[in-house]
Amino acid sequence: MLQEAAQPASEVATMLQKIGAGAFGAVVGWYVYYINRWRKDDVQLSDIVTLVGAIGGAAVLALFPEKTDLFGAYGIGLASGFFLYFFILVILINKAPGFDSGWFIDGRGPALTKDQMISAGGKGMGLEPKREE
Amino acid sequence: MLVTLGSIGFGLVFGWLLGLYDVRPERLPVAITSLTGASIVGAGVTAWLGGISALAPFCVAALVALWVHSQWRSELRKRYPKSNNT
Repeated sequence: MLQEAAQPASEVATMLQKIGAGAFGAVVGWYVYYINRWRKDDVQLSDIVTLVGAIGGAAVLALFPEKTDLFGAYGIGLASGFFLYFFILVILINKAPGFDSGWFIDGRGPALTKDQMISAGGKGMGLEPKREE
Repeated sequence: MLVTLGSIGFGLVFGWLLGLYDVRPERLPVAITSLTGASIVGAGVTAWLGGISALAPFCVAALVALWVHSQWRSELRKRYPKSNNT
């Protein structure tokens, strides 16, 4: 403990800190894909800048000392959370009846049947589905 | 080792996000400037937090993710033409 305290902060990263940095990265990665998945309009440049700022912005620079393993753990967690969301989404889209990979283009899905309705306050991808006649 | 793996992970997410943006010919200069700026920021963060040696894996991973994402979107567009229902 005293030895750790005597060392410069840039060289010290305990296992618990690495796990914490990885878990933090995983949450950020998951949430970045979540934000991207629920956007309603086409991607704008400002969206890209915002997302890039979220994954590598001031918070990350302030949290992790430079040249430590914490950035490595964060990066691994970030990719894990981000691509885990993506792979789960791919699996769910391919398993859901009436959906296919075309959903990734514009959110297309099956039309509502006669005994289905959109509940009040319900929201999807912001696209108006057409009712089957 | 952990820093290299982390910079690869950071680069993969970074490149995938850059691949979201469709570059239109009429807005090419703005797009190139913004995407280049974002890439410089990403590379700068990687170099600052992971060291100069982390830059190469970051850049390779970002380019690979950008290419894979672009190819995937292009393939999806070919396979599923624009719907008239939306």
